[in-house]
Amino acid sequence: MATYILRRILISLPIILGITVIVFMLANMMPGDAVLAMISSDTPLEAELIKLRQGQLGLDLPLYEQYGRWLGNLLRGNMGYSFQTGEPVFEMIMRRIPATLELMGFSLLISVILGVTLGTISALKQYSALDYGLTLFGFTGISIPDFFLSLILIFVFALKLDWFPTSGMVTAGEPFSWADNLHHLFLPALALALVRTAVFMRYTRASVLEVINDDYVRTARAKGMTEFVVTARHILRNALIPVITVIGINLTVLFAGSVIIETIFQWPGIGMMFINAISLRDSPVIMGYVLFSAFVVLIANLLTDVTYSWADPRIRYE
Amino acid sequence: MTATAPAITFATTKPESLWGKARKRFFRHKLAMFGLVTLSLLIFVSVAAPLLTPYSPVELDLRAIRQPPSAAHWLGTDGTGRDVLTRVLYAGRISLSVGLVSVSISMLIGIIIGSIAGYAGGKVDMILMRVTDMFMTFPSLVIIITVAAAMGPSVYNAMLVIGLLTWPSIARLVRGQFLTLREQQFVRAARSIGVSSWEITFKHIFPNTISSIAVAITFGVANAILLEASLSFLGLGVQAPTPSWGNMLRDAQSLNILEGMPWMWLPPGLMIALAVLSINFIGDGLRDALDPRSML
Amino acid sequence: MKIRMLFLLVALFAMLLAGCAAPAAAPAAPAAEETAPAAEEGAPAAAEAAGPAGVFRSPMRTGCAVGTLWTTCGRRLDEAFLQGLAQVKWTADGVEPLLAESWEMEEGGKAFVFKLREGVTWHDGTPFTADDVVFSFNIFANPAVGSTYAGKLSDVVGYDEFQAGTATELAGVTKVDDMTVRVELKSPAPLWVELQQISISILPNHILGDVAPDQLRTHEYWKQMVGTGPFVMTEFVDDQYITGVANENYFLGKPKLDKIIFQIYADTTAILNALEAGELDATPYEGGGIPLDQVQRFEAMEHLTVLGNMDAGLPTFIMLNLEDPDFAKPEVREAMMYAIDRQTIMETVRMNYGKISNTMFPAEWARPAELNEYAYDPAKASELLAAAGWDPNRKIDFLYYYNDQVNKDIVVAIQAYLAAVGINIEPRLVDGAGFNQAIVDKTFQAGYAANGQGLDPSIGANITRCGTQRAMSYCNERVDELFGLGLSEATRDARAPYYQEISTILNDELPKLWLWYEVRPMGFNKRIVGLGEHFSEQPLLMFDLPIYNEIHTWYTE
Repeated sequence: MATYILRRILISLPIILGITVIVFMLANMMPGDAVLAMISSDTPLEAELIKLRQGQLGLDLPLYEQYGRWLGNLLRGNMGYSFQTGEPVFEMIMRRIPATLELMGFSLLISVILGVTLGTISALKQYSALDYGLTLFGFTGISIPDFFLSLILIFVFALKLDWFPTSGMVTAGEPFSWADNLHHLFLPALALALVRTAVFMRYTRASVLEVINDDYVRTARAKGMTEFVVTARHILRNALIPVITVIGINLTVLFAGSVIIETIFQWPGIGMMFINAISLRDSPVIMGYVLFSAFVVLIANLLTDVTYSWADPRIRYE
Repeated sequence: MTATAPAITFATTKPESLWGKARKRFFRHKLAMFGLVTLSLLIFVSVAAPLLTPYSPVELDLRAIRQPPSAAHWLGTDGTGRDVLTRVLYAGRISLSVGLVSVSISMLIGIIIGSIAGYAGGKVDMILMRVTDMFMTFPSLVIIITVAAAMGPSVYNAMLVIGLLTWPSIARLVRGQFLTLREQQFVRAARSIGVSSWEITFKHIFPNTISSIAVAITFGVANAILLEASLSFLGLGVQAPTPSWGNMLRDAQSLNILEGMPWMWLPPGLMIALAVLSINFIGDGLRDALDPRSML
Repeated sequence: MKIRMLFLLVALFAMLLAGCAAPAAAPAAPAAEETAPAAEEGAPAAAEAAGPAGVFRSPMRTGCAVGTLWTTCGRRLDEAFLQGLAQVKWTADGVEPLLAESWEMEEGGKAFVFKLREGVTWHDGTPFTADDVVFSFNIFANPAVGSTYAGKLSDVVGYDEFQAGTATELAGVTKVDDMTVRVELKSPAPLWVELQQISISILPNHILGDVAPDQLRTHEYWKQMVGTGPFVMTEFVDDQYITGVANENYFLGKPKLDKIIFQIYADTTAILNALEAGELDATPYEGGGIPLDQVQRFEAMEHLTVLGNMDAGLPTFIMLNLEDPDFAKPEVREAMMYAIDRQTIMETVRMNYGKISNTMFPAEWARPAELNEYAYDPAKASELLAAAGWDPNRKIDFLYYYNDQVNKDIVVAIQAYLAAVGINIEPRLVDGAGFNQAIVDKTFQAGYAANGQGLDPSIGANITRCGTQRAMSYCNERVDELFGLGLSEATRDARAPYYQEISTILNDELPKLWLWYEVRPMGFNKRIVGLGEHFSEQPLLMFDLPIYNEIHTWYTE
């Protein structure tokens, strides 16, 4: 297994390289560049000045040279500097990743806890009204686009009921407090989590149902254990295995989903950083984000495959 | 006392085939039936749209903008006086066809790559999975925006982009199935008696994966419709004046409309939810019907 | 089983009804609209009107905080932290002496001698001197720095040499003594102080003087700006907020507010939400104000002063690439003007916000009384197109960047009107970079755009002068001549005839299809006394300039 993991990691490196090349080309295919993005369309700019600024940022060099520069710097441990602020990209990412992690972590927590609980209840009370209700909720959850859900949440909870702030991570200018932070975190985490909750709920329900009639469970019941113990000890432990493998896939989806949620809620994580970088055509930041997300996805996939094989011993990787 | 032994009758009808059983199970699945009926209805009204409304989806009437539902306009009018009901129906054509076409693209690519990887195993599997990983790690937004910018945002590009971005999960699914099934008894048995790889793939493995592929297809269509909505919502999919459920939802971003003019965004939102919901129901029903292990 | 099916259907319908029930009340009671929302927000209104005492929360957009020299929207920061020799007043009728106490004009505007204010210190205590002024002018003009505002100094002697690299500084800017600076211009420009100088903010020589020009951009100074303004920057959290505290030693008196926070947002929706919820005290205007279709809603909010008809000094027009053989024909351009029913669009989609325009200048004094109205006449449009040999199968790539609902609806309406006479445009929403790129590499065909000219009609030269990019190949030497003449006089009465003649030419030749003069509705939280009042007095918006608006006199109740 160790050699397998090592080999996977080694093979990932050229993959990541390939991704960066393609993304670099694509990002440069977008019309405009960092200099043009900064000019307000209301105030025109002299052509010579534009050329000057482009030269300063190295934007007038042929694409392969620009990429080469970037790669060379990367191999020396330097992720480059933002075209917009001049800040080192690595620092930017490190500074903003905690916000995204907080959002993703909290969402994952909500969705796993809610999803597993509701899914188990749904399975145990199969065919009851509650089961149907929860199933409907689950289906609805995966049928509504998350940008739409976010808008409705902001509208109902932030504007009409005034229970939560409309955006941001903290109240600006005030000293940091966890209570304030969590208060801001709730709506975006909920928006991100609801769809995942529905997914986990369905997976849990399906796998609990599979396990619920298995022999060892019947044995446990026959032995006289209470329903609760039976559920907790035997059913859940086995039913959770496929759910855990699904978490891996969902990590990448969470990561991607956080981009939209962060933008709608002004949550200052790397998702928002990426969106801003796109409209500002900030190449180094875009590349930094791509690199980072590539790593996240590859590691998530690796984890999923490893867990999958651990869970199902028939699958072996040579 | 005469003990009349119950008459023993022998079955004179043919034993039910596996497909027959599956079909029966599917039709008994309530939600799936509801989904099927709803989806058929949606498809029907989208296709028959010109027959159902007198308006054109691009017909402006600046003197009647933002009208609430009335006798003349059953679902009211939008910001430039176009009939909402008409636009919702015509939008169905776009959104549903984008769903179908993009899924076809992703299915084709995904199934081919997944089955080759899953069956061949070893080096081929590794290489193909790395390629799959590469596609999965693409930040989709960059690709979408760039393709939209480079080739011009349009329905067709939306279909292409969605298809190209969603095949990796299909490939992984198919590959996973192949990996599991490859080790199953019946496949080993077949191989041991010398059945060729082709035959094994088509006659033995494929039929067993079809259930998960079919289920994946339905969920794929649902997902594609959601993706198209997001794309159009961002302004990168279907462009004005052609209506799509996604670009009609863009209106809701204005709080004014979200709060005071629900007839402009609730219909497309509900249509997306209904369409995706019914497709999900169908998928669920298919899964339950085709899964031999599910005796629930 | 049937009961459960029913349950499902009922649940679905419940969703539908829930959505319809709440807003069903709204259209049924348009008259009560004023009172209803106020009643709803009864309790929260008190909470919204409150906000931290002594703190002004101002909005900013992402990408604006990079530094005075390079951004246009970043000038809002300057109003708090940095200053110029003299800044344009909010009343738009002159400048307020700030770092320069007074100045003298020599030879009818060929040179200006600025007498600097005594006793001014930078936020770190260092005294302000003429060295800072000379340094700042040179930095703004330095080609290695690449400032967006370099062109403002193009009238100064030595500018061209500096740009070309044959000189290492602006010859025309000289230090006379520690408190006096002399600026010499190439030719007399009596309005130079009022129109060009106002874009130059003064930067500290003692901090930035030794920094290499190409390193300036990434210098940490911008994260902790040291200036002479009413507020001292204390915190800079990227993409979140920038804070400043009152400057005790401000030469016009310590500000009554204790703190200013610039909260950073990526888009208008987030800003409007925050304004409504009382988390923000003002709307920005660069990039859009309150969308027209939401003005009424905001006007109904108790805690806000809303200026629904704030003149944006922004003529909106359809830009055409005049190198395109079709658009080069005047008949085609005229036809397009006749084809679009601007009056109806103004009355319906725009709800009468704004004024229809038939020429470029928003300032009334720059326009003559009589202009060709180009009243809606599709028949005439078709005639003109036929005469010009227009091909109805031609598709035009039409770009636009305003992404609020009203402007999108306007573009749809324009598309429909043009299609009715056989002109097929394919609208494409792009962002700023995309729009600018299309212009730079000349793939631009047609588009919907605007140009901020609130400050003075002379700015209009930027989009009509021969050779500028935005003129899109329009070139009329008489117009250029008139613009030059317009700047040779100092009073409005003397300048008016020139601009009026330009107006007539532009109305005739239609280098751009004039649509209307924009408004940018703005909202201000009443709790900041002075904020709303100043903007109410401000006749129009002036973009990309720090504006003197007596921010040090504002306070919270």
